[in-house]
Amino acid sequence: MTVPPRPSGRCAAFLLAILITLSAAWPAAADRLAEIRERGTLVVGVKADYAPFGSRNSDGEIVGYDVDIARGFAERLGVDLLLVPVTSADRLQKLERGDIDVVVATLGDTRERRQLVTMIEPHYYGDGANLLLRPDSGVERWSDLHGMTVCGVQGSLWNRPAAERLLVDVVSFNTTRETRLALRDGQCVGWLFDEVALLHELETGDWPGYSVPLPTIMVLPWAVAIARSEAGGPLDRLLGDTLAEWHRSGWLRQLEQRWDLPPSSFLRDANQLWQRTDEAGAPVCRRGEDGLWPLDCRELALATADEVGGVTGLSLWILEATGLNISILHDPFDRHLFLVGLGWTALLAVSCLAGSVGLGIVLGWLIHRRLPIVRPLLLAAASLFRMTPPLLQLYVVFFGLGAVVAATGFTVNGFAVAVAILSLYAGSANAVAFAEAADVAALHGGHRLGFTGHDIRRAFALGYATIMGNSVNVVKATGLASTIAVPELIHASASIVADKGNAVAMMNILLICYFALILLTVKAFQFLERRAVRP
Amino acid sequence: MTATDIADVLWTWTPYLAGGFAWNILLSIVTMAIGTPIGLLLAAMRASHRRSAARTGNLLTGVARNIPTFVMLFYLAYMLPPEVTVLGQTLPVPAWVKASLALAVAVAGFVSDNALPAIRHLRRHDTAAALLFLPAWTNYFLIIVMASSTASVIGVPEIVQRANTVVGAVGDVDVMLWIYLYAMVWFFAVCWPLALTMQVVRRRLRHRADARWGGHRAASGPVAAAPADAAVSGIPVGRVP
Repeated sequence: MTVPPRPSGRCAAFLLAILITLSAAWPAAADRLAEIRERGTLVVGVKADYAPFGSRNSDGEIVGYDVDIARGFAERLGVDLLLVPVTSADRLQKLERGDIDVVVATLGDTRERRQLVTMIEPHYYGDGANLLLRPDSGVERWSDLHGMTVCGVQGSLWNRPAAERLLVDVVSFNTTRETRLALRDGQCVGWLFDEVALLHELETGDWPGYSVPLPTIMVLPWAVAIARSEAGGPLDRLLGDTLAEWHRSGWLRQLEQRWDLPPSSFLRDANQLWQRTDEAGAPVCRRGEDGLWPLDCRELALATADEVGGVTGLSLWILEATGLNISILHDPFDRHLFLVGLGWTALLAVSCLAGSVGLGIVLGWLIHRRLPIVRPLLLAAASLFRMTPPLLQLYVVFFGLGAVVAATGFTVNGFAVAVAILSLYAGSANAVAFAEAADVAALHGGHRLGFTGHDIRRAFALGYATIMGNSVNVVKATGLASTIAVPELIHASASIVADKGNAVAMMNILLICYFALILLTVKAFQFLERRAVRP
Repeated sequence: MTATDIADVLWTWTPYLAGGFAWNILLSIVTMAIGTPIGLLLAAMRASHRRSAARTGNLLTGVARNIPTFVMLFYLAYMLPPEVTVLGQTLPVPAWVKASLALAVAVAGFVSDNALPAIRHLRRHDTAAALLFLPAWTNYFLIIVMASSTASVIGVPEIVQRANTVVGAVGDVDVMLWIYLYAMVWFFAVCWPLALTMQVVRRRLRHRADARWGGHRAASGPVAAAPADAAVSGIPVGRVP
């Protein structure tokens, strides 16, 4: 298995675009489908050098997964099939020139290519990147990889995006053999490669304990393509309907099996999606009045703005006009991930604020009352919290104590650990500030403060500035929870970037969200001061 | 694993972890070196009589103050290119440079907020009060040393990152707790004495300043005295910047 095909380069695409503009004067094919039927032959471009999708067998015939798809189309049309070998470099030109009717040649669907040809939806195959992980790597999600080293094969499509999107070091080796050895020697935590190829590796049985547990990312769907002028025409509809039927019936998955391809998550998910029915028992994925499939059944990132409309359309329009991919606006999966992250961050912030202020008042009061043992103990704890990094405090409790607790059969909850540690961390600083404020208040009042609403309020008003400062800091620190697997905002944003590569959009959104959160915290404190503290 | 086994593991890996801690210190020094001049510039702008300069200084300080460094770390890690070409020379931008720049944003905000009152004290020839900036600055250096541990998440080989490596290499979950605790000890052993020293320095300076200006500042009491860095401006300072 080699790397999936890529656009042969911007330059080539540009030249082609010019060619097509020049050729706009050619008579548009009135109805290609009628022409094919009249001719009695379907001419399909397939690859002849890319097993198992299209390659020559010992008899010299072209066979493969793509070829069976082409044959299926011919059978559906009731015409003969003529195969024309194409390459990645000439498949789109041949299609535009009219040399062939259809391309089924491991063609990845991208926005750029949609400028040149008509891509049939649904897609007929898809492959993405995944990771063959060492046993006990401890990696449970893509964002756990930050700062780690992964192995890759030189020239692989995934190496560069992985380094950019996952913040990993990719050491690449010349051949797959060398990469295998490097992984075995422990030079990296895992091998980043085509999902299909890695699953194939696992099936060989040479990798006991190794696994491919992460969801496939950067999935590039493959499409059947026809000429640009045929968009929305009868041929487009017929091929699309046929592919939809094949997804529903599971025929494509059988085909995958027949060609010894490992079960891909793309075909599995598509099979489930296209089988889904509504209450009336009709398929959810059926063409609307405009002839398009519903949005839930399409690759939204590939749709055009005028096909969609609404916020989704606006987001796609921004993508088309500026290249800024605000995927949380048009991709329901990303939006869900992001909103869940936002929810966790808000919950963390509120919990840590309540915890740190509450602890600060109670512990500060205890320090103020000069209780024997308690006071020096609390002051020492405050120093300890201040003079060690909170990140390590989280690690000690979550991983260190977590391992000890795990031996008894319990698991440690990341959210609870984050709230506890961060509350203690800021709470101990608040306690010192509160105690000093209480001391001052006592100096003025002539007696030590009691644990009454009135006294507490007086001390709080005096220590207000410092406590607010500590509170802002604890809200800022909530992001640390992402290091112990709490799916908060940073975690969610990093996951989306890993899949979509839209770092510019997501990182700026992340920054704005946190900025707003901090301002909100400051405002809340100012409100509290006006209303409750200094009535 | 017995206690001697654990001690043995920690001893074996001590040079490696110490090398990591050197990274933390280096990273913190570079961070302060980048952030302090920028912060001083911002403070000078805010103290300026030119309205536009003061406003710009306030705005930039507000931004620097309100962005969590941990978020900034990811922001720069993703947004900065892995290498830059200057005058035909291709220079790599390693993770530690990105981390220093991210932390320097917080330093700039802090220095701006604390140098501003110092500049005002200097204008009133109250040198002793202005000197209070120094212990506050040193304390912030310690805060940055703590924060430098977060650089591990973008792959800087500092002590926490190396502790993770050791955990992986030893492969025994029982040791994990002790390795992380041991890394903590490094921070505490270096930072705590320095923090105590600064407390003494600050007390002396404040004493001198108060002696010169009579008792009137004492009215603000120990609340302002203890977390001087926070109280002087009434503005949050980062324990975790």
